[in-house]
Amino acid sequence: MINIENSSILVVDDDHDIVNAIAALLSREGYTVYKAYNGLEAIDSLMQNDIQLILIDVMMPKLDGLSAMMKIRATKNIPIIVLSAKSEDSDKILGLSMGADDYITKPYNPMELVARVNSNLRRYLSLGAADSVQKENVVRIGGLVLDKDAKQLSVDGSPVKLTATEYKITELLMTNAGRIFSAEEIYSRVWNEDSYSIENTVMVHIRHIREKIEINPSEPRYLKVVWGIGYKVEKQ
Amino acid sequence: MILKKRLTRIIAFIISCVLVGICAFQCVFIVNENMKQVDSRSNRDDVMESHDYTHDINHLFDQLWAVSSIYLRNTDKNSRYTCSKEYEKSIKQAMQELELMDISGKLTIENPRDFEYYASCGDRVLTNTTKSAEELKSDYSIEYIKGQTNFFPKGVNWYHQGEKRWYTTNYGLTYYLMYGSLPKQAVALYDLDTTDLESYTDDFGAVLYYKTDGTMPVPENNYRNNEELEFEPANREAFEQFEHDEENVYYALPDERNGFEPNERDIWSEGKNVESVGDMSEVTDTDMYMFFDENSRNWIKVSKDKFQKYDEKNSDITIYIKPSEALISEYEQYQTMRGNIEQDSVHKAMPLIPVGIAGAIIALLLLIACGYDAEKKKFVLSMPDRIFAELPVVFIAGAAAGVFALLYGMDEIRTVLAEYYTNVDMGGIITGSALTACYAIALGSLITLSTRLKCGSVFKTSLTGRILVFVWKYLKKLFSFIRKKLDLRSIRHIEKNSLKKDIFLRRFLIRTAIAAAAEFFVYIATIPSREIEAFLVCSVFLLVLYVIFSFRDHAEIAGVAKQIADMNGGDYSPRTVPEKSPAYGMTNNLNNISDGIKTAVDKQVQSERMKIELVTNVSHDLKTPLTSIISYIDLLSAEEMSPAARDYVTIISQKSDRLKAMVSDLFDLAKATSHTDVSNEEIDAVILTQQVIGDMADKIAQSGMEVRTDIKAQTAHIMAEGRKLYRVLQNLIDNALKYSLAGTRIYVNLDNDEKFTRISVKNISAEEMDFTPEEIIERFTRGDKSRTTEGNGLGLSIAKSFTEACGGKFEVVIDGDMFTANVILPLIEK
Repeated sequence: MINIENSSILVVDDDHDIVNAIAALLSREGYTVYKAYNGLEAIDSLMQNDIQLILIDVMMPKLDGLSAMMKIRATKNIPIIVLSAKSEDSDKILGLSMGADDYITKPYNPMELVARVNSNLRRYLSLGAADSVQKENVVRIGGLVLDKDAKQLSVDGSPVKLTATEYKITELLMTNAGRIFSAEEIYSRVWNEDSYSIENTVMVHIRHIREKIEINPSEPRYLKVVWGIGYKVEKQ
Repeated sequence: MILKKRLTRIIAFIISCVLVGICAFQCVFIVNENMKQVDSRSNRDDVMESHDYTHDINHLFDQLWAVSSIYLRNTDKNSRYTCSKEYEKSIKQAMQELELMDISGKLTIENPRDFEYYASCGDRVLTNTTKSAEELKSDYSIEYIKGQTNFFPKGVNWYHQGEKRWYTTNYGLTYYLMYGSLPKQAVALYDLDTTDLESYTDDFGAVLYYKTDGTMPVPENNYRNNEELEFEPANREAFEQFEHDEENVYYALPDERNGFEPNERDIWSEGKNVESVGDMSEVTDTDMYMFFDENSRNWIKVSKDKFQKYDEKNSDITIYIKPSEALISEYEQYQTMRGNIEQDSVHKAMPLIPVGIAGAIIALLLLIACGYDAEKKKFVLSMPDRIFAELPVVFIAGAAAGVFALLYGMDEIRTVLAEYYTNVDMGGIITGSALTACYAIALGSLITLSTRLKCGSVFKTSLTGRILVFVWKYLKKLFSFIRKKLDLRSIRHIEKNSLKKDIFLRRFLIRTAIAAAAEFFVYIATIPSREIEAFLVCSVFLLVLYVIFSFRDHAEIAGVAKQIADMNGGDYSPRTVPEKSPAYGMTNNLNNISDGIKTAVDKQVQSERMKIELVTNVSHDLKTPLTSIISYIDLLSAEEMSPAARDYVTIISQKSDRLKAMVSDLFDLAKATSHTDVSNEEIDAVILTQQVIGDMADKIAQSGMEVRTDIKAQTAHIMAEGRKLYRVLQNLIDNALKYSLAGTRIYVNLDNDEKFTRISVKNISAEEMDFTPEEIIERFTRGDKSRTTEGNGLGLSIAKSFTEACGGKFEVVIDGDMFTANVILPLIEK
């Protein structure tokens, strides 16, 4: 097993400054960083080096990020994080559906970038082997693993401390991933009381859970607010 | 084409005129020559066809008839009278009056031309020749047998015998009526002593006597000379004269009271009028006579039967009159000579025919070729063709009239001028010249008319045409003036062009008129014969037809209505309707409108797309360097540096974060205002508000402000995009937290009315609000003009744009220090 600290990361962007900045950032974290400035160079570099994660821009000369990603995906299943100035939902959906594991919009928050890189690497390296082991009473959604027996939630392998109420909400939403729960429903099922004057109780809890499990709580990956309707955990 | 050139045509015209002129002159000369010879004879009295001859033979006939009928009838072979003395006297007097007898009683028959005559009445004969009657028969003789003339004698110019008839009565009157040349038209003979009797003279000159003792009819008062016998006007009509038998009115009584039942058909067949009267006394002059009885001093009525009238026949009279042989032979000779002259004239005229025909052919060719311009190779109008078209028409009519007048008056002209010019036929020259002139004028007129016809400008060049065009022009000006005036007042003047002809209305009127007429016809055809069922059936049939035809129009209107509905739904595709359809104009107008809207919408969409593209590009270009800045600031902050430097780096970091947020906001704002990215779904505003408050709970707690939430509705279902509406509320609450006076409360209210839900965020501003709601919503305007606090001034702009993108209304109310932002969204109607 490769240690996370020894992992090699390929950074691809046509803007040399950005590549250099990211390289410095990641080197600081202890990663080995390879650089490429277009899709073709990225593929070449991938051939020559042992690389565990790719950070790739979309708009590049010669071969664009999405096309390069498709070529890479044909042979490798290493995590690929798309790094793009395109912040539209449609762009994100396109990137993710074409094989990206994550999507970070520019200008990124350096801390968030590092966190996401870590998260993706951890999942890939430490949990990749465990993927095949299907335990009973374990719900797995992306990097989230909920062990119902142990009443334990881990994100990308690291356990998260949840209060009892938070755990119950998380369990409810994760077991019914994809389904939207209204605040009342959550309240009545978690508190086992009729919802009356629930005010923002549920929302506050949700926010707390999000802060614990999400890298960027205002752009949540797992626990999402469906505004005006309710809450859900996205199916991955 | 021959006669291409104008000059050749002029020459041809002259040639044609000359040729026809030659013809005319020659013909006139020949005819005049002929007439001269005839003339020289007609002035003579001694020839048979002279007027005197005709008069003489007719006069002789009249004399012989009178003599035969009056004198011969009442005498024997020895010229002794066979009648009473009174009658003899009367005959003598009458014969003298007719100038047929002298005082001595000898017949005086005028016969200046020595006609041979034979007249007989019964076996009494009067003749001046030894020839028998048979021998006097000839083509030139008068032959009167049994009261009739059998033929018109040759050589006599005019011939009439007049009506000759006579009758006798049972009161002694014999009346002869003889139209003719005698001094009197009628004579009355009396077989009684007429001395001392009252008398009067009738219309024809006969002297009629009457007695008032009931033995003779009394005349109508307009014949009477005796003033004493004046009748009362009421009885004026109570008289009957024999002359009145000619009366062609028969009076018919409606019943048999008078024993007189007229057979109308018979009376009709006699060509007489029938007038129905209630009582015979109204007209009375048919069956009663009245006379005045001197003894009784009374008027006495006498039946008509008392005065019988017997019509006598002339069948016993035979008259032959024959001219002398010398006259006959002279006449025959003349006839032969005349025949020769005429034949000679024809022979002389024969060679003129081809000349005339040649002239006519040239004229015809001229008519075909006239107006042709060899250079322009088409027919053109020349100067004379621009004179009013009526003029040549008048010329032609005048020329035709002139020719007729000349032909009729040719002889007159000749005779008048012959008195002055004995050697030259001046009349012929003038007539011929005039005829030629007429021909030239007519031909010229025809040529100009033909040219105009070929150029299609007969109407244009005519005075009538010009007047009409002139009038039309001014009428049009007037109409357009009036129309303009009206149009200014009419709002609908744009539609007018295509709706000028309101075919719907016209069709409706025609259809209704036809239906009404048909219904009326059906009514007329069925009601009088009491066929109510037929009337009802036909009416229903008509009604059905009417409805069917009406539906056709309705379908067309429905088509237009559908197009409007489709346009409302965003379908701007043009429709085609047959040109004859009444909806044609409307559909065309709608198509034009559709086209306009479509173009406008397309343009707008295109411009929005370009705007978004621009914003996307700009934001991308902004983001790339910003990424580097943020990255390197991060790297920089990890480096060793003095505390002052670290402060600076922190400020740069904050500002770059703000810049990042601003770029993102700008992009969102641009997108929202362009309405290109709308994905509304049904959400609950109540839940959303709670979610936002919950989401911001930590931030609110940090700010130290108190937020009072008052949600009055259970639910508020709206169509909106949750994420956008979240941004709206987030921005509003953020703003409130940022600008509220410390220690004041923020109120978030939600309330529904019938159609809308209203979410309002109220707070008390920390600073004085010296701006209008409009100003604050504007981009980059901030509550604090000094811009000391955080924020980019886009918050309210985004709130407004996003609310509007969700189909809602965003408003800001400033009341003193209270700032209220309202988000009003339409509820879904359940």
